[in-house]
Order: sequence, then C-alpha cells, then structure tokens
Amino acid sequence: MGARAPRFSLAIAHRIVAAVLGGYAFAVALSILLSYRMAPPRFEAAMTGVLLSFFFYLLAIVWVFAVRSVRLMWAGMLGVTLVVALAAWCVRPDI
Amino acid sequence: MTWLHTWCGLLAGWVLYFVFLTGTAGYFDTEIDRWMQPERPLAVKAISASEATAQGLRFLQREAPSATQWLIYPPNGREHPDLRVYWYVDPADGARRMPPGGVTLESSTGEPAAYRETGGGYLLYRMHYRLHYMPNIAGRWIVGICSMAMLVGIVTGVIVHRRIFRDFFTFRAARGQRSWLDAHAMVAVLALPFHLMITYSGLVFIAYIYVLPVISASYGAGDANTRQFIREMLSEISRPTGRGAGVAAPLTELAPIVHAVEKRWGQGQVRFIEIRYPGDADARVVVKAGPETASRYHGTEIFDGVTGAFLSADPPRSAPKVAVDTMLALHEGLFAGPALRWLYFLSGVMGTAMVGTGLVLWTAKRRDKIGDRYGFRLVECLNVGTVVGLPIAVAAYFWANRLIPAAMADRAAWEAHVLFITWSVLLLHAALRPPRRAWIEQFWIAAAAYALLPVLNALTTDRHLGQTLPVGDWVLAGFDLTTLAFGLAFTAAAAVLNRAKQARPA
Repeated sequence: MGARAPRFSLAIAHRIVAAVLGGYAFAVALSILLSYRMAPPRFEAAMTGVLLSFFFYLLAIVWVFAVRSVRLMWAGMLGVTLVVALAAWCVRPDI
Repeated sequence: MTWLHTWCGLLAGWVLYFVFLTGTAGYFDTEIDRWMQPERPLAVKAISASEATAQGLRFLQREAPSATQWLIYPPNGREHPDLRVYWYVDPADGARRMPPGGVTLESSTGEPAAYRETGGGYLLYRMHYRLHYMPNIAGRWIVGICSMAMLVGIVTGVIVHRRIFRDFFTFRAARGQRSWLDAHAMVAVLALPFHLMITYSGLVFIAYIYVLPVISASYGAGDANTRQFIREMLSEISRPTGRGAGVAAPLTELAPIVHAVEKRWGQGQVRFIEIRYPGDADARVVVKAGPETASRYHGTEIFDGVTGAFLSADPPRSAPKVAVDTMLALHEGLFAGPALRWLYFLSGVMGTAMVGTGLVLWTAKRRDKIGDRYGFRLVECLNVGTVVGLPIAVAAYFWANRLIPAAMADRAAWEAHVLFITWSVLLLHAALRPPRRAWIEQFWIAAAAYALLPVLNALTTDRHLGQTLPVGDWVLAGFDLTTLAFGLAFTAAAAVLNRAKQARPA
C-alpha cells in the first residue's frame, strides 16, 4: 500500500497464488464451517454458507494484498485456513 | 491495493465490458425481442388466463399427447407478452420433442405464430452469463472469475480512493489522464450500490458452480444432489421422473382452477399452469401466481388433475431463502416498472462506462512511459476494438436481423455470427490504424450504425417511427428512439475527439 510503485516480482506472485487459491480454500472452509454450525434443514445451512462465501473470498484477497510481509501473509493464510478446515471437519454431520 | 485494482480491472476488463453491455441490453430483452420480430401484430388481442389456458391445452392435446409435462404461459406483462407452451417428453418415449424455447401461439387463433427466427434480446441477455461459442460451463466459469475480479476491483477502488466523496464532485474536463480518472470515478461512485449489488448477486446466481464444495458439504457430492440444491434455491419445478400411475383418467376442467387462483391472487396474476402426467390418474395441476416483487415471490398452488381438488400451497419461506430470492430479484429486476427499468438500464450503462473508462485510463497513464511496447499496443487495440467495437457489433446484430432473409435457414445463428464477425473486424481495424485515428473512425462507424438503424427499420418493415409513434407503441418506438440517442452520443464523441486531434495532432 506504500508510495513506491510495485513492479511484478516474486512477492507479487506469492500474493496472487495465496489470494486466488488460498483465499478460495479459506472462503470455502469457513462457509462450510458456518453451514455445519447452522441448525438444519440443510437448504438453509448450505444457502447461508453459499451467500457468504464470496464475501469471505473477497476479505481474504484484500487481506493478502494488504499485509506487509509475505512471510506473515502465508503464515496467516495457511494457519487460519487450516484451523477453520479442521474445525469444520470436527463438527461435520453425517450425510 | 492500487496494483490489485489496476490488474484485476485490466485482465478482467474486456470480458466484464462484454458482460455489462449485453446484460444491460438484457434489461430490455423482451422489448428487443419484439423489435426483432416485426411480424408481430402491433396490437395484441388481449385474452384472459382461462381463454389462454384453453387455447394452450387444445394445442398440447393435439401436438404432444404423450408428454409427461405440459406448461402453459398465458400472455402476461412484459416478461411473457405471448401465449407460449412447453412440454416434456420422457426421453425413452419416441414422441415428438419440443422445439427449444417452446412454441409461441398467436392469441387470436391459438395456432403457432409465424414470426422470423431470431436470437432476440434473449440471446444478448444469455450471453452476459454464458458468453457464446463455448460450453455452458466454460462460459459461466469465465464470467464468474471475472465477476470476482470485479468485486475485488470495486472494493479496492473504494479503498484506493480515499477522497471518494470530494472527487465525485470533481470533473476536470479536457485534461487527458485526469479527465479519464474523474470520469471513471464518477460513473463508479454514482452507481456504486448498483455495481456492488449486481456483481455479488451475479456470483450468487451461479454459485452452484463456483462454490460447489459448500453445497456438497451439506447435500453430498454428485450431480443429483447439486441439482436438488439448485431446484430448492431457484424454486424450480422438477421434471416428472416417472410416468404417473399408469391408469388413464380424464383431465379435470382447467377453467375453474384458473378462476380459483385468480380469485386469490387477482386478475391477470397467473404466471403459468403446469399439468403433470396429463390423462393419468395421478395427474397434478400446478399453478404459479402472484405479482413480480423485489423478493421474487410467486405462490405455487397444487391441484388434483382428475378431480380438480385443491391440494396444497407453498410453505412459508425461511430467512436464507428470502435473502437469496431478494438478491436474485434485484439482479433480474423483473419487478421494475418503466421508470425503474430505465434506471436499471442507466445503471448498467454506467457500469459499462466504468469498465470502459477504466480500460482507457490504463493506457492514458502509461502512454508516455511504455507507449511503444508491444503489451501496451495490444491493450490499446483491445480497448478500441472492444469499448467502441463491441457496441458497433451489437448494432450489427440488429442490422443482420433486418437484412438476413426472414426465411433463411439458421438465420438466428447467423445474426449472432454477424455480431462476432463485426467485433473481430473492428479489433483488426484497431490493430491496423494509428490509435487516435482508430478511435475516431470507430466512433463515426458507431454513430452511423446506431443513428441509421431507425432508417433501416423504416426501409425494411412497416414498424417504423412513422407508424409506431402515432399509435403510441412505446416499446417499438422506444427502441428506435434509443438507438437514435446512442447514434447522437457516438457522433458527439467522434466530433470531440476529432477536434482534440486537430488541436494536438497525435
């Protein structure tokens, strides 16, 4: 976000991969966790997750490009996604 | 953030421009349909829902007796101006299949209408979410990825623009790059709620592809489960899976059912009548009724198809269902009357302009630094050939509608081919001409293509302004007047650019 003109670099490549793939994984995992925590019926649960998923994806992408250090960005992205995915796995219902 | 805004916008820009432009035209899809079928009668004979049902039924009994599902859409407002019937035949059955898009019946005779074959406004509308010349799924993925880039572009645009409110009132004309920036910010901010709403709801519309794992997590994997979710999300009626009870029984009278529904919902509020397993002991009559609202709600009432007894109505909707219905209704704008519909159209034009000015801004900022590079030249060609070339191509689509013989085979497909051939030629033109000349020349072509459309219409049909204005047919006259207005706007753009060129030769 600084004043210097960023050029295409390895750091940018990292952020693109993290935003596009990591952001998607995070958004889907969080949406699934949310839908599992919703009360049934399943349509309401899935729909709530779907409606919010693009918002989560957007947040993740903007965050990835806002964080100063690439190292911190990866740590945060992988860490949070892993925790959310694990939580979703633990509370999954039987279908 | 600026980097993100710039590159999301540039890489997705040309597709987004196409999506915004065709989607905006889609707000007048049935009006364009009507203009593109000048054989349609000027004044349609108004018939009641029960009369229309009787006509549709007569046709279906004759043409599709072994179908497992009949659908009758009585003429109803702008979305369904015609009486139209659809049917579904079990694939195992060798009976006559329905032509795609159903059959339009003339309400005066109840017989199929002999209008020219055309993609109409519907095809433009359909292109905005599945493009053209590619598998359905591929088109939706491309549009979806670009829509996500759009969403990121909108939000980062607001973040980048810290002085967003003050800049909104700033327009520095004839200052090159600054003017483009101001214009970009102005159309972006003016319709910001529309841009956000249309992008987000567009993603939700096709979310069943984009975030499929979220659905599979609750519904289970596999096509059948996904389809079940889609049906619930879009309140779709599923196709009949079986063949009913297999015992013949005469179909109940439909008129009393239509009357009962109209009594509850009001005259002219019947959307469609579905007859499932007609002629079977298990037959059902499903009626959708109710006005178009901003939350997309129509009541569904189900009747016994043999006795005519009322069986059930909709259960109440849950909060997430109302939320998604509202989003989709806002996106489609079917509930919008004439004033609101124009506002939708203008917002769409501003969205198109936002993408267009953004694309031009990219080159305006970089011309002095990298103007001689190949990448820059490529962007510039794509800009000219799309920002002006695509509107010309859409005009060519309308020209093709009038110039391709009405009886030619595959004429609807050729209308679309003309659109894309024209676009390709204009991209080529942009590559061969010096950039400033290319802009000016294409603006002149656009001016002529739009301003002369009413003239072409008058030469090839009798549905021209001389006829439509006196009888007050504002759908047909509105089309001609709108293209005339676009023609004048393009003329002005060409003239301004031309003057600027003479003042400061490129």
